[in-house]
Amino acid sequence: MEREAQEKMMTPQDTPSASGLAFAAGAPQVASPQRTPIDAAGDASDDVSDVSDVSDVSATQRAPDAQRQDAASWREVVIQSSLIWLMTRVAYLMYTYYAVVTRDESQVSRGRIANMTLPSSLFVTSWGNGAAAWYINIARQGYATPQAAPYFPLYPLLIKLVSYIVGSHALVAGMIVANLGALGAFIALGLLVAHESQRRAVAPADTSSAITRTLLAFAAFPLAFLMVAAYADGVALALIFAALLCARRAAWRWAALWAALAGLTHPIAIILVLPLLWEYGRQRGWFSQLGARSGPTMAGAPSLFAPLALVAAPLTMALYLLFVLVRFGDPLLAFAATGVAGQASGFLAPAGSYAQASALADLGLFLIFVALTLASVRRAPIAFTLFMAGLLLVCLTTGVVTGSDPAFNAARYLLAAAPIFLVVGRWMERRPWFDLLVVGGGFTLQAIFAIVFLWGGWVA
Amino acid sequence: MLETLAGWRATVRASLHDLFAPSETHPLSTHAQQLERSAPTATAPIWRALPWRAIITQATAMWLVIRLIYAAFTYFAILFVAQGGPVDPARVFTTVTPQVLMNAWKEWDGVWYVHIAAYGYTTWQPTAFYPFYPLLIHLVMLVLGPGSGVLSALIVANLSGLGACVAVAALAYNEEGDEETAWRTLRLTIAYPLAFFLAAPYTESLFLALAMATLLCARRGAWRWVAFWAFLAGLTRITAVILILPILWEYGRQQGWWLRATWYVPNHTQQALKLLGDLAQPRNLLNFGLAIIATPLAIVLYGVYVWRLFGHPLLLFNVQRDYWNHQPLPLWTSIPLALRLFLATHARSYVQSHVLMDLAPLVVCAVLTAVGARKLPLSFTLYMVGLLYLCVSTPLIDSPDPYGSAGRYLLVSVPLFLLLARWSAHRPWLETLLISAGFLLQAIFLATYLTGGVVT
Repeated sequence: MEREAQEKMMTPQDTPSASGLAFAAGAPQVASPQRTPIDAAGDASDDVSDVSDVSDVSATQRAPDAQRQDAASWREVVIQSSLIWLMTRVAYLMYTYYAVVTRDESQVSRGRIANMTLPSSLFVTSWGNGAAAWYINIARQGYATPQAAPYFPLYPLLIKLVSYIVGSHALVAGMIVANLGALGAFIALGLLVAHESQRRAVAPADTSSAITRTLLAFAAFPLAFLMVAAYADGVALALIFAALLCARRAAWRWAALWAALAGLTHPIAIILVLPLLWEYGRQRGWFSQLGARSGPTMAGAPSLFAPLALVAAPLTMALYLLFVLVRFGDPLLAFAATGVAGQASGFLAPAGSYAQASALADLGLFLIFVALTLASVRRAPIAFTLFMAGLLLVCLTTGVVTGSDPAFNAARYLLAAAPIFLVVGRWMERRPWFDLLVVGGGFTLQAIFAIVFLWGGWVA
Repeated sequence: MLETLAGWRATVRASLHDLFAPSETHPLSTHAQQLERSAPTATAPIWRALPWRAIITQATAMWLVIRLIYAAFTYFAILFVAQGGPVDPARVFTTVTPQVLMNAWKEWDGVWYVHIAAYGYTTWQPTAFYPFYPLLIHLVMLVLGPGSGVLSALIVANLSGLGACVAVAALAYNEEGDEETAWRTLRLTIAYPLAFFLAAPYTESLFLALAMATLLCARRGAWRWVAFWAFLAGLTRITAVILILPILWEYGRQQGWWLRATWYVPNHTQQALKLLGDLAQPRNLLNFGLAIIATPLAIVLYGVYVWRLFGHPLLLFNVQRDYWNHQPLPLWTSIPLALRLFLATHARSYVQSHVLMDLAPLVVCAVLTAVGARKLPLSFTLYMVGLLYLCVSTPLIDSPDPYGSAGRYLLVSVPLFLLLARWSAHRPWLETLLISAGFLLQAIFLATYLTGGVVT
């Protein structure tokens, strides 16, 4: 009863955000009554320790001052993440200007467009290539053809809603939704960093630096520009990161909500099942035989929303498949955009060919993330490792060769690799050269891939 | 004779000690102290014990990383961007060789430098390109063979880039006294949208290394080294003339020339004579004379060489006007001209974007120079003023982009990168803007450059 009351008191409504995302970055670490020896030693726990979350601590133990500090810290992280997001959008504005204007530079020497004004709409429509066109069509006409089935419904629905405000400019609405989704992803990732930093008792200044580095690594990911385009990635990532954060904080009601919405946004949401299951099990003490590695358990009755959170994403995806079944007669049409990985054939293409470069961009990133996942296995919380295992598995089973032009689908999904960005962000703090490699290399490669996309050469 | 040699050896040893050895006599532990010392009222050199090992290690690592990035970028840019949109199925398996990737870097001025290195100044047009960089290329070609022009040019430029990275980090550390700011300054330099010219067969990297070494030594009061680096800078680019004023100011500051107290004496004439007397001391005269005269001397020597080669004493200066269309104009003529031409460009046109590539950095740097005037040592401000003046004083009058290449020239605005590094230390959003916009724009400019577009 006591634990039930405690959990009830720690529902998200009690937190400053009222969304399950609240945390106490920089707030004094409240000692958990169930801290493990590793945590107490504060050694390898550097990253490992699945120590008690904020929600493990009774609200009654939290002084009003601490709560106010929590709220202030929460606001700081949101503001910091939002500003970083905003600055990347400003950078994309400048980038788009040059990418679009220089597209036809080959004609400059012939003097055809040297001083010709390009239509301003071109700067927006260039972001509407690839899958963006499908989302826009769905927002306008619904699921009119079976080919639209792979595009899950929440994002087009949001486009439709925003279109009521911005008028008939569905692409503009799509970009607004996508970029606001990206804002949500930045904030959720920033909060996740702060939450994990707090667990590791990192000083506030270092937490702020960790947030900046992690978000920079995230923003610099070579395919992060898809969060600018009218793609569902921004929204999906916001929901997935939020679900993961809430599960880590045992805010299961919110985890269930975000996971359910993620399942309606993108099939990649399926990767939430295992980490959420682990988190739930960890908090219930299912894995206590693993010792300190499993982390502390939580006393009291389980949250009613926890089981719901575990099945939320598959459930909503199943609902959508049911819709596809009714609409088109085959639920597997929803996965028609994916297939057996075709990168291997491209990888073995002649050295220095487009096919090889295309495969390298995809498979190279995939292998790097596999290596980073393996390197962080012993340090990262097990839930994060499971999250990455699921993500890598999804990448392995996707990615297609469309005719002679290999697509970058697999690498695109790696944008969801929040645990890796956390690890990379921490490494960047201590190694300026690594910071330059991640940020400089990421943004320059991203610019290349974005040019291909903006110039209409993208098929993902 | 032996005494003279011994004297020279002692002088060189003292100079080396001045530059490299840690000093106990000028401990500058805090930023406040540094600011105080850089104020006009302070007369001590800004001399801080430099952690050379850390600086060289970190600068080398960052230099290596950005080279790897450029290598990967070249590969992807040539294969993806050159497609110019949806891929042509017929070209999916067409291969490009490493030679093609390397030659993609040989564009614009790079062609001239490689030509000069291989054949010398065969015509008067390329005399606008100063001889030190082609000379170094030629030396490398002696090792790698006569057909290795592009490779040699890239080797020299990139090794100079390494020197530039070390010099920038050392200068920033000498000013700030903390490694974090030094690395951040270097990172911002590398992220400058046209910083890829540090890897291209241009003089940017060599000049940046020499100019920063000059400023560093001037701030540290190592005047013979100042003369050495400034002389080489003068042989590298005409832009080196911007070093003269900062050197003069720094020397005067360290001698107390600019102190009000120096001149608050009853007899100004007597004071002036006293200062002149101090300056006339052999050691002071040598230091000051060499440092001040080094750059002009290098330019004059090259001018004489060109005169002997082509028979015209002012050819070196006339070639900029007669062949490259750089017309010297007063600022009150040049700036309105540039504004008029910019306003004549069509919005969202290629020409406008090209003009902005030079005009925007110019405006931003001018604003930052004005804003940072009170935050930076005056010698740095003078350096920036000189650089800005050079960019706007010789516009291309027959081009819609009168300040063509200004964006590239401003790559050496390290004092401003230092200022931005300070500001961004506690402003993650500013760092994000500078880094993300810097690298994204750099990538698109580099892609344009590598695929034969107009980025000069």
